[in-house]
Amino acid sequence: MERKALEEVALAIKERLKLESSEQFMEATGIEKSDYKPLTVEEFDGLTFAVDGSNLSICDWSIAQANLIRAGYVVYRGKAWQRTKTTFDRIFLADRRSYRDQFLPYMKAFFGLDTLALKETELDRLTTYFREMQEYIALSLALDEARKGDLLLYDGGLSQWKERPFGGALDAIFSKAEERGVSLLGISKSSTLSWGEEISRPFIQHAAILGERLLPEKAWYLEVGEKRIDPRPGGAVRSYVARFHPRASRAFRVDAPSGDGIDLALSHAAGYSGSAESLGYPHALFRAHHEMRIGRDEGALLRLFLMEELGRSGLELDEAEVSLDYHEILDSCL
Amino acid sequence: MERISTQFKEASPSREAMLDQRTVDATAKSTHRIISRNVREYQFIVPYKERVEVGEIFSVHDIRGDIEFLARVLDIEHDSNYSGNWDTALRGVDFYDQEQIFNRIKAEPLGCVENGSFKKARTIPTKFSSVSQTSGDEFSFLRKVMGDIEVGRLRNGSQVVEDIPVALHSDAMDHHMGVFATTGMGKSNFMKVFAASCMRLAADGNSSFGLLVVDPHGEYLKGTKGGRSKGLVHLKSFSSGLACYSTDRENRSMPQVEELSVAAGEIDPGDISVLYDWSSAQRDALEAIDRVFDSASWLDEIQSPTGIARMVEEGFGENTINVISRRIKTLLGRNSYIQNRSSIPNIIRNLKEGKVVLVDIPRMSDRSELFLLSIISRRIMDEYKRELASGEERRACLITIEEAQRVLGGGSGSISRFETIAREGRKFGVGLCAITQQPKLIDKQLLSQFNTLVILGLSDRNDRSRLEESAKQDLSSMEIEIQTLEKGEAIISTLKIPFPVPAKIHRFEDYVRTLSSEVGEGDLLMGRGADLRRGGGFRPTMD
Ligand SMILES: Nc1ncnc2c1ncn2[C@@H]1O[C@H](COP(=O)(O)OP(=O)(O)OP(=O)(O)O)[C@@H](O)[C@H]1O
Ligand SMILES: [Mg+2]
Repeated sequence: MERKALEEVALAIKERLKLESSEQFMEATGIEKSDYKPLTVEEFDGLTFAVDGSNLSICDWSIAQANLIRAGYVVYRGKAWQRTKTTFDRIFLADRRSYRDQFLPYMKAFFGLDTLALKETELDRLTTYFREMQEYIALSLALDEARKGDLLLYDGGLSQWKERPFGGALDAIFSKAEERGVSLLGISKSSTLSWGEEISRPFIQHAAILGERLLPEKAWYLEVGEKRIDPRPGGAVRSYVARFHPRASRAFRVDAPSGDGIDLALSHAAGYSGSAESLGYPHALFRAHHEMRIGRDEGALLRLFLMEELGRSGLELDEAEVSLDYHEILDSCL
Repeated sequence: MERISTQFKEASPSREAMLDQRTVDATAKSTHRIISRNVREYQFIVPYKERVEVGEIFSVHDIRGDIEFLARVLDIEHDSNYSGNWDTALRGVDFYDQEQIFNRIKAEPLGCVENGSFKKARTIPTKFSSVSQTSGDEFSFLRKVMGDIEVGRLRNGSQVVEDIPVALHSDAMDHHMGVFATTGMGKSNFMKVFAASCMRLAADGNSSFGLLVVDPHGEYLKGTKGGRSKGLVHLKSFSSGLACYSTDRENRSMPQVEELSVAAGEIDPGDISVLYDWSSAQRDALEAIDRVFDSASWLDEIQSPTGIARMVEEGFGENTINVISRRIKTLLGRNSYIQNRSSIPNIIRNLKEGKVVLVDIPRMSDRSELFLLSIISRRIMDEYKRELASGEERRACLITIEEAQRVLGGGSGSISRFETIAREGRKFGVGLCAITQQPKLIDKQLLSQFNTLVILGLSDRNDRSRLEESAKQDLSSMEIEIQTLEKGEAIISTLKIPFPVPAKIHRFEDYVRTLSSEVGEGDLLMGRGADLRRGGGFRPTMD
């Protein structure tokens, strides 16, 4: 590629990422200085639960994919790790025709739901949905353990749930959290929230830059509900941007089922976001991410065992191999 | 992972069946887990505050079932689960997850134990199998592979494993053995312990080889004077397994010690040629002696004017013959043990009976010692050769050579007698036990004939690498461990024991005391030694 072409790409990126003018940002989004609320960093006696999940492709036969899916949560008291609970750790075989038999037993057993309808376009993402469901189950199980005043963190967004297939499951989780007096926050590592007219500009990052200008060396949060951003958070869920540590360089998008007690919940999350391992990010989520992650070695080993098992089941190795998605063959030859 | 499917047979499976709930909590002890790497190297992690030593042996308890892998620690590194440099970053002062910082251990697989027996591992342990320091019980498979000559106890790192004796095999002893250590690290102590165990076998009628020890330092018989060290005579309970010969007047007066004598007639020109660096003319003359003189009288004749004249007549230079004649005179003059009588037939008889034969020659010069050793070894070789031809049954024989680099250095000529034993002795049941501080000076090829290596602390890198190059078992990964051996600690590589075994050699004085007291308490006639052989080894009493 020519230097000139790269230069153009670089300019286009810069135009999106660089926040040249705070005023322009404030005007376009409707954010005002007073929207930034200082966050008191507060330690508390309760437990922090952090839920995460991961998946790794083991084998892809094009018509069906085998993915290892893992979900679970870690539990902290203050800065001290208490335990890690894996709730699901199994291979999920994604098949567009038979998915209902795999999802429905879970929906029924954990959320009392009898239906699950995925749109045609959603069928390509069966694995993602299955993992998401397992994360919600982990959330629900963590809630069973949690007591009044505890904090439950989820790695991911909770917003726009009405349109999504697991709206019912989330409803159940939200009401359980409320019943038990547990603060639930969904904290996203990445966010597509954007602002601007002709081009998309990163909302969270620019809100963070502005925050640093307005409240330097402070932790803060900002509700985004009524602001002009895209997409507009919907439903009953409230969305925020929060910087959890005075010296953190990043802020995160945070979703909560309701605005009640949000100040305290965020303060508690900020209370344990000061670790050296992940400054500015709730440490429990950092740990959950590492504990639930599936390593490549582990995937490779599992693939080996699976092939072994296939052989035992009567499928010849070359039969199994010739049906593999050709990507798998190409990529494994690299 | 047991199930790899999420299809359920029953209409409404239980919640438990649908999930894989598993909890690890802060009280869980073992964070030692195998994490990689291949058939040649395992890596596992241990908490960063835990102490692990190079050379320690760990057991990997395979998740898949009743198989246990053993591995020896080669190297230790700092590591952590979270990649990145967070633990060195300036802002990083408030660590939450101490247990995520650990040491990564690299270990060399030794083999695996399945159904109580040991074999080389052809596969790797399942990932995440737990790992723990191998304990006494888990070593019990080693008891089965140990031999009958106890020399110490198993060592794991710097800890002694009380229950597992380390013992060499008698029937590996015609295969040559080497004992290597920097000075003061315990060569003589090892040899005394070895000899004591051989005495025990001989006294019990279980010996399958005779052990010849020629001791120029006077330390084996009674120990060193004044010091607290003991000698072989102190092992009274097994004295029937020992025969002693001495050149020392005081030692000869002890009841169990005979005077050492060698008959002039036993000396042959070859024994002389071992001793000096001869010119080629002198060497030619020495070789001609056999032809010119009668073998019974050559020694007298070559010292007499008529004899010298005869050699000159044969065409050798007068000077050449004079040098030979003079050197022989000096030698004979210095070695008063050369008489008409000879102890050698008795020595050989005792060896054939499987006893330990100690030839005590304190204060004897280097040259005289070699001369004597040369004569005795030649006689032993001749005798064993003859008997092999006659088909007679007899026990093997192991000849000990101190400072063996003097005679096994390779190169041509004069000192090849011991090299001949090293190369051919096995055929006739004669083995060498070479003791040296400098294995690097021993001929590589000879070294590769040694099937038993007892390696004590060696500080010189060249010495270590010479052993690594030539050992039958692979020692290349043990460099660090050999370098860090303490006094009395050894690595023993031998036939029939499947991997080089770390050992703590018994302190001879303790061993004598324990052997004596165990025998003393038992029924002398009936059960002598039987209890000892049953395994468990001896436990030293404290000073
Ligand atoms: N296994 C052991 N346990 C306890 N002490 C030992 C052991 N081996 C040797 N020692 C002690 O170490 C000292 C030196 O031992 P030894 O004389 O056997 O060394 P060496 O290698 O023969 O030395 P040199 O090269 O001088 O002949 C002695 O005091 C001995 O008691
Ligand atoms: Mg010595």
